[in-house]
Amino acid sequence: MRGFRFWGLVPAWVLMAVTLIVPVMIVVLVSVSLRGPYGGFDWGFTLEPYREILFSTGWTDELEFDPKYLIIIGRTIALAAATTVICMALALPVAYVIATRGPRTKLVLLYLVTLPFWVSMIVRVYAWLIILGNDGIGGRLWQALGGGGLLFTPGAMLIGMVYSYIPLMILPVYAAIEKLDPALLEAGADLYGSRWTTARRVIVPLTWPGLAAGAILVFVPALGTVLEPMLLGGGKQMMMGTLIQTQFGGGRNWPFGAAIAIVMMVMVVIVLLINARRAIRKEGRA
Amino acid sequence: MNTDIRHYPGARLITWVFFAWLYLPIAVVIWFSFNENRLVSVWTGFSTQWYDAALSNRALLDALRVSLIVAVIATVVATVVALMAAMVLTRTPGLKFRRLSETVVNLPLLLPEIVVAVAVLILVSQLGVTNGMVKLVLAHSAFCTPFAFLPIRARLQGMSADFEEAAQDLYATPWTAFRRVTLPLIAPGVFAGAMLAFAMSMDDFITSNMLNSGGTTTLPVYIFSLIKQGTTPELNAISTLLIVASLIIATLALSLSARAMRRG
Amino acid sequence: MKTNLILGTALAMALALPAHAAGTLNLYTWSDSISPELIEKFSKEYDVKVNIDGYNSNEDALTKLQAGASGYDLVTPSQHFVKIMVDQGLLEDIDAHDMAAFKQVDDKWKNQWWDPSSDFSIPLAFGTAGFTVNRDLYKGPVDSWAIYFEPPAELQGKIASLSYPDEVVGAAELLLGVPFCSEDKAEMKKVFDLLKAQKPSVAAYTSDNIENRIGSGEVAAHFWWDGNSLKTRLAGANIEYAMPKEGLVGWLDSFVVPKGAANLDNAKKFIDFMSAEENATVQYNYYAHSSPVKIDMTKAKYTPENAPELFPTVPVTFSQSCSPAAQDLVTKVWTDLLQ
Repeated sequence: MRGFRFWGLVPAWVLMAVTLIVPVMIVVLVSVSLRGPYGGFDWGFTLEPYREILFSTGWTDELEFDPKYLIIIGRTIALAAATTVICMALALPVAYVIATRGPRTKLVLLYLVTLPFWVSMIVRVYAWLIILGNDGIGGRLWQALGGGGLLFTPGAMLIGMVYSYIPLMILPVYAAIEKLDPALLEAGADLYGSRWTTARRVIVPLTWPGLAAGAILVFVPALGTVLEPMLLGGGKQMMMGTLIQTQFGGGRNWPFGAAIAIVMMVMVVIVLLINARRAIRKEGRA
Repeated sequence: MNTDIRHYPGARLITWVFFAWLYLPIAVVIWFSFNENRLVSVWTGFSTQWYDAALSNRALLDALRVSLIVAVIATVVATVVALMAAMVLTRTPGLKFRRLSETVVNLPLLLPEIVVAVAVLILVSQLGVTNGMVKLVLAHSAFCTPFAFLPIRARLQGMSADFEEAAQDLYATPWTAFRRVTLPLIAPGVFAGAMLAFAMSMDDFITSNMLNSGGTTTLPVYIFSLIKQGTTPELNAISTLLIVASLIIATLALSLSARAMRRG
Repeated sequence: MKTNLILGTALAMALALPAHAAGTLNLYTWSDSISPELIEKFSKEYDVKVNIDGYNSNEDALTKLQAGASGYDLVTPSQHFVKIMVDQGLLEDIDAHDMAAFKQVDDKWKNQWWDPSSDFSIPLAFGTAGFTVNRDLYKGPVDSWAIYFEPPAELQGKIASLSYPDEVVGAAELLLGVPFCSEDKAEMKKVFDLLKAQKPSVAAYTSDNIENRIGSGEVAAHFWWDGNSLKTRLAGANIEYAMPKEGLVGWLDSFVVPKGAANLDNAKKFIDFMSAEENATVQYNYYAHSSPVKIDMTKAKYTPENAPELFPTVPVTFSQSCSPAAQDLVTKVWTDLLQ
């Protein structure tokens, strides 16, 4: 298609430059600006917001190392990672079962996977609020199993997050499994003699690109999540997303909020780099 | 016992449980929409009064209208942008900065939404953009683009370029070749991409909440304000109506794309 | 495909056509705070299309105005935020003291510290922040903030707080006898210690869906506002709004016009409209918070007999505009608490 070539990319570049690249650069600038007394910011240069991530004035007035923001960052990573791993573990069997059905059933099942996500995310999270509450089905079941309250626990948050992001994992994993050559599975079965070894040595490695793509699609939004910690987690522990929101709201410290946003972005870039290196290594071996 | 090597005991069970889990919240939302009690989670009796309330709620209908306009425009923009980018990226051998360009198109997937929302908010306030619709359409077009791009590219990659080359010889202009041959062939991918983009736009909360201004409250932002102030089953009724509408649209979409696939 | 898109666009455009109206008015108010009946009436009378967006904390409203170009014509922040907005130059001077609405305002709300010469604001509603208990779950006394902050065994794990510090820290200060907006670190440390000790008993820090949570008994005590508690009780929930002897945290929301509002005239018309006695009464009956403007007592739905929530028997202390230093301490208390 000679006609397209380079010009076809211009709209995409312009759109992303206006809505993402320039704004993100502004966020970088804000993160080193001076905070306004009641929120907002004044252009300038200071590394204060970044210093604040590690050191803050304690109750006794001296500057001290304060791990509280590191704890929040660590907790956010842990939650996003746990969400990603659970999504992977669920998506693999489900996508496999879907991919091995007949063409019609396949289509219907895929449709069933995506349908709930036409319902607003807020409504979905809010439905879990009812289910996990003391009088809800989930809450009662959990109590019958000997658990305490389920709502407002990290577990509730995790259920909500997995629920929110699972299709972003199933779709790429499904695409990868669909491409698998049945002959390979049979060869694997002949070679290893067991289904589980075949799964471990053939299916998982061959679907790895799908899993990796899904992992990024799930991990990135999970890092910035706001609704689930607020509604299902009971807001007892801050996450990076809620921390950023707080700084632009009641904390009235926009530069600090921007600095946290930059930290979050750096974390995403690191994950992407790891993933890219793995892909390049793989290409090298192939 | 199934002895097929491709059969995994347990996988089907997991899948069944998974689907039950997937639809549990939907069932709960629908069930409680018929609750007569003002307190959603305390069932007292059957009633359809909340449907009347929802359908005569002007603020709700306004929000729905805003969401639909934004979603339709953003879907069109995102799909066109994504289609052009995908054509170039899959059909130009030796393209410079291919990886970089691909990353740029997918950028919205790679940045946490809260960061983007904050960034766009600061940008529009620096530029002094007051029109809420413009803000929303711009931001939505951007984050919908990768969702339109991925299925289109997948379809293009799965298709040999031979047809197009033959068509170009036949029709001479690339545009005619594209319209007569390529587009019909990749239609299912374009359709899937447009549907995804539309769904993403309709569902967006974080960005819309940051950017909304006079008269441009989208449906999710409106729903959130309902949840915040204490919900009545009206919210469930709204959601049920949305589920039914989505069901109809998605079913239509599915049968259309199934037909397109058979033709393709 | 293309025809689909065109059809879709046409459909969206058809839906997009706004109802014909001479003017527009974009309101940004506390969620669900203005009577829909009055909006309808104003729309008809003045031929103005009214759009309403809701917020759920003063901070949200302040952030929106600070980000600039909000597109709103009328906002209803509480007194301590009116002061900040005035100081920050975020509001239009509407000569409130010359408006018809001003004559309706009760004298005790005129020329107050947040707007000393009544240039910028006309009050809309006032009330208190306190806590509500579910009487099915908790039978004990509710005469002190100590019940809430240092809960007895039957309330432990069944308490809910708000997701932002504003009034919660204020209430803790009332219990400890610490002045609002204290810049004294030692005093604020005491506030922090109190909240920290309360935390294991708190089920959730959340400002949404309160009505369901306390009404259904998901929690037994909830930080809340007077009018909301009243409405839920009258709807049949067995709850009680506490009257702690240390006092309640007071608030007063006012109409203000953001700088550069496009529909300033309509905004002023709306303020006058809402403050007219007949309409103010309708608003009072709808919102269930006390009215700072004159209302028709014969038509008022809530009286001291049926609505003790609105007529507190304990002192009410109004929230102040904290200095940046004091506000930083409040934020520190909160982030240290939820870290």
